[in-house]
Amino acid sequence: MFDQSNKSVLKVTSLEFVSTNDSSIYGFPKQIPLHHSYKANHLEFEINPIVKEGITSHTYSLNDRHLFCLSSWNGMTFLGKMDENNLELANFNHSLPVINSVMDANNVVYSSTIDGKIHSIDFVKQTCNNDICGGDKTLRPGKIKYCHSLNTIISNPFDGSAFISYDIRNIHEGVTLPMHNASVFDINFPFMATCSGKTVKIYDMTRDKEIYSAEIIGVFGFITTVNFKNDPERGIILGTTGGQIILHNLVNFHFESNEYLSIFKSPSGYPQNHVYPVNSVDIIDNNYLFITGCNTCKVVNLKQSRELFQIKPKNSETTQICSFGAVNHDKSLFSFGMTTNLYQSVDTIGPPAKLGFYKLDDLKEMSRYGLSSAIFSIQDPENPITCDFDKNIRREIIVSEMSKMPNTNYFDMLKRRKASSNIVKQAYRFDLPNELVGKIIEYIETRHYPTISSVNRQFRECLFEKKSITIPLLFDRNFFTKFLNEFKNLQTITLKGEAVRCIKALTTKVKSNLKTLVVISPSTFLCPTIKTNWFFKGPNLESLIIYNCKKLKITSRYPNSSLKKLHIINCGIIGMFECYSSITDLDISGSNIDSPKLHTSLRKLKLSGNDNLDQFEHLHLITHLCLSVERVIPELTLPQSIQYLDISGCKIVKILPRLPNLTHLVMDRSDVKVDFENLGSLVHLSMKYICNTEPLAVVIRNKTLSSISIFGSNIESFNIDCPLLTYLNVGSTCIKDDQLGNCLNKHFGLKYLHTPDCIFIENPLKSVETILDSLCLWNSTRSTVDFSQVDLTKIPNIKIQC
Amino acid sequence: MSETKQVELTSKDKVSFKVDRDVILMSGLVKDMLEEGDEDETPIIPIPNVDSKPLQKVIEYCQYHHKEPAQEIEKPLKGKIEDVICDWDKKFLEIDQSLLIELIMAANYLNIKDLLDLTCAKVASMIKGKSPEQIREMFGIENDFTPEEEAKIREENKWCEEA
Repeated sequence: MFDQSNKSVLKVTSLEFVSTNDSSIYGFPKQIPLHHSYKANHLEFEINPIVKEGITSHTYSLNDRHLFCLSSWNGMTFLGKMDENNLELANFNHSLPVINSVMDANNVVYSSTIDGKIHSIDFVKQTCNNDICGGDKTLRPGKIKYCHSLNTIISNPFDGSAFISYDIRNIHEGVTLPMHNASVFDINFPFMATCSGKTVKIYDMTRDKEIYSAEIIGVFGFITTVNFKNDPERGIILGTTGGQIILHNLVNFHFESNEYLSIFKSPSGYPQNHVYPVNSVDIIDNNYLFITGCNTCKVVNLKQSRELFQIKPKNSETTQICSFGAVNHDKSLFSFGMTTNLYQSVDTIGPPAKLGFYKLDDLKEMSRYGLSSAIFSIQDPENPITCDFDKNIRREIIVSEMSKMPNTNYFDMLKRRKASSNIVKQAYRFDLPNELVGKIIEYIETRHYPTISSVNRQFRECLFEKKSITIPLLFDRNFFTKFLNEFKNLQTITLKGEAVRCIKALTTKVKSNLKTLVVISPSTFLCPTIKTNWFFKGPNLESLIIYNCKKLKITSRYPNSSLKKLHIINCGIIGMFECYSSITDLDISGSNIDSPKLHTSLRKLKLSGNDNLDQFEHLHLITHLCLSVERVIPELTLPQSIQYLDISGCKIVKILPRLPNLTHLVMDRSDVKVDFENLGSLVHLSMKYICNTEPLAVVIRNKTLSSISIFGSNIESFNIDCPLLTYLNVGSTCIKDDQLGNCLNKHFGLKYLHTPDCIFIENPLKSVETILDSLCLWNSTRSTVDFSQVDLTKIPNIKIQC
Repeated sequence: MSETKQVELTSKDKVSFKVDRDVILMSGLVKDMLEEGDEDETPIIPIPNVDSKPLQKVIEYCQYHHKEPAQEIEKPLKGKIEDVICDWDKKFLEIDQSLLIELIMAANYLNIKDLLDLTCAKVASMIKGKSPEQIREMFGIENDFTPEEEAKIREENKWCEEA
C-alpha cells in the first residue's frame, strides 16, 4: 500500500539515459569530457633542482596571488613565484627531510624538518633562522600550521600533542595541548580540529576545552585531511586513506549527519586494500572542494553534490601521484605537485617531481561545464580498506627522544601575548576614570557582575561601589553570603520575580547599612511567604516596598526600627496589620487589609480596596492622602494639614470640607461636590473622565489655581474664574466655542491650552480681546490654523502642536 | 532670514570645526561657555581635552540628534544595544574600540548626556557574555590582579558558574 503520509520529495540533481552500447545519449546537466583538456589550460614545470623524493606540501601566500611555498622529502624548501606563465623558484637546502612548510602574513616561510626543528626562511632578506626554534630545545617533529588570528605557528608533533607558540618570533616558547595522538589538524581560531585514526575532536582553544569528540563511522583506513567548514560550528570535511571525502555535519557542535563522497575508487583489477589517500583538500567559497590525492585532482561542487571535473596527468605512472594541491588566495590559480607516492613506496626513488598549474575561471562558470555523475554514495562499512598510514610515516621519521612537556594552561599564553601586545599598542590604553566605568556598569545586568568583578581592579572597585543592585534571577546561596558582601556601600536592593524565593538569604545583608528593600514578588505559586520581621531588625532600613506577595506576614515586633516608608501593594496579608509609630509613609493599596489601625505619625497615606476608612481627622500630620476607593462615602473628614488629596473614583455625598492648605486636588472619575472658594491654596486641579449621565455644569472660582484639567469629562457648561490660570486642558470635552472664547478673554495669563477635538479654534481665538502674552496650543485637530481670521496682535506668540 | 550663527571648535590637535550654534548647544559645556557670553560673529571655543577624530564624531552625532532626540536606553540593558537604538546610531557606532573609548571621554567632557549614554551602553553591550580575558583583550585593559587575588575572585564567583 502506498502510504500518503510517507510521501517525500526527491531532488534530482542529474539524470542520464544510457543507450545499449553504453554511451550517454542525453541527460542533464550537460555532459562534458571527463578528462578536462589537460594540455590546453595547463602549465607543467619540472622542479629545479630536481626533487626525486616527494613533494610533501604546497601552500599559497595569504596575500600574494603569485607566491607559494613547497617542501620536499629530499630536504628542500622552495619559494615559488608563478607569474604569467613563468615560474621562478628559490630554494633552501635543509639536508633533512621537510615535513611541511607554511607561510605567514609577511610571506616568511616556516619549514618543519624531521629533526623537530622549525626554520623560518625569509627569501626576500635571504635569511634563515634556525635558532628561533631553539637549538637545544627539543621540539618534536610534526606538521605545522600558521594561525592567522594568533599570528603564530601551531605544530602538531607526531607524539600526538599540539604545540602553540606564543609568538611567531619566538617559536620555541609555547604551550602543549594534549591531543589524543592526533597527527592531522585544522585551525579556525579559536577552534582546533584534530584527527587520529577514525576519531575527530574539536577543541576550543580559548577555553582550553574539548567541545566535541566522535568516532567517524564508515572511514576506509583512517583520516588523512581535516578542514573546517567556513563556519566551524557547522562541521568539518575529512579525507581518508580510502579515497573518501566525508562531510561530518554539525549543528552548533552537535552531530547532525555524515555524507560520504567516494572520490578515488580503486580501479578494477587492483586489490581492494590498495591505498588511494586524499592528500589535500581546499575549500573555496564554502562550496568547491579541490581534492588532490591518488593520481588525480578533482573539483567537486558540494551544494550540487557532483564532480565538476578531474585532472589526471597523462602517462602517469602508478608511482607518481598528484600530491598536495592548493588554490591561491584570489582563486585564480590551482596547482599541485606530481611526485613519488611517498606513503606507499618509501624506498623507491621515482622520476623527477613536477608542478602542474591550472588557471581557474570563474567558479560559477566552471560549474556549468558539467559532471560525470552524481557522486554521493554510502560505502559499505562492513568491508573497509585497511592500511596503517600512521605507521608508515612514523617508520620514516627518526623521532628524537620525547620529553614530557609541562601542561601549561592556555590562558597563561594569552596573558603573555597580552603583555607583549601592550608594548606594541601603547597608544591605546584603557584609561576611563572610575566615574565612567561606573556608568558603563549601570547598563550591565546583575548576572554579568562576576565577570565584571574579575576584569581588573578598577572594574572591581567600580562595581562594588554601587549603591543599588537588582536581583532578577534565582542565584546560588553563595551570591548572598559571599558576593553581595563585597558591595560595601549598598543601600538599595531590589528583588524581582523568581529571586524573591531567596529572600530569606538576604536577612543577613539587611543587618548592615541597607536603607531600601524592594520586593517584587511573582504573583504565581512561586511566591514565597515573607515575614516582615526578617527585615525590621535592620538598623538602617528606612524603606520596605513589597509588591504582589500573596503570603505576607506582618509582625509587630520591630526593635530599633528606623522604618519610615512601608508600601504593601497588591499583597495578601496573613494575620493582623498594625502601623508603627516610626512610619510616616504608608501605602497599602490593593492589599486586603480591613480597617487598618493607623498611627498618628503618618504624613503620607495611600489606601484602596476594602479598608473601610473615611475618617482621617485624627491624622493631624498628614499631608498626602490617596483614596482610590470605588465606593460611596457619606462624609469624608480630613485634617486641616492636608496638602495633596486624591479621591479619584470616590462618590462622596457631603460637600468636601474647607481645606486651607490643599494645593493639589485629584478627583478623576469621581462624584464629589466641591466649593473651590473653600480651597484657599489650591494650585493644581484634575477632574478628568468625569462621566455622569447628565452633562455637568462646572463653576470654578479660585484665586490661587494655576492649572486645571477636565480632559475627557462630560461637561457642557463651563465657567471658570481663576486669575492665575496658566494651564488649561479641555481636550475631549464638548465645551462650546463661545465658552472657551470667554474663558480666554478672562485669562490672559494662559500659556498652554489643550483644545477640544471638535472645535474650530479660529472662533475662540477670534474673540480674544485682551492681549495674551504667548499661547501654546495642542491637539488642534487641524494642523494649520487660518490666522487670517485671528488678530495676531492680540496673541503675539502662538505655537501650535498637534 | 539671518544667517545661521556658527561656532568654531578647536580640538586638542589644533583642528578647527565650524558648527551651527544650534547643533553644538547639545553640549552642556559649550552651552555654558556661550552663555557667559560675547556677541562675536563666530566665537572660537577651544576643546583642549578632545582630539579631532572623536570631536568630528561628536559633531556628527549632534548634527543628527539635535533634531531627532535620542530615545532613552534602559538600565540595565537587556539584550543587545542594536535592538534598542535607531539605524543611524547603529551605523554611528561602527567604530573601533579605541575611538569608542575616546568618544565616551569626549561626551563626558563636553557634557552630552545622550551620547554618553549611547557609548557607555555600547561598551556594556560589548562586554556582556564575554569572559574577563576577552574583555581585557578587546579594550586593552591590563590585568592587575595578583595570582592570589585571582584565585580569591574565582572562589567568590563560583555561584555564577553553578547557576
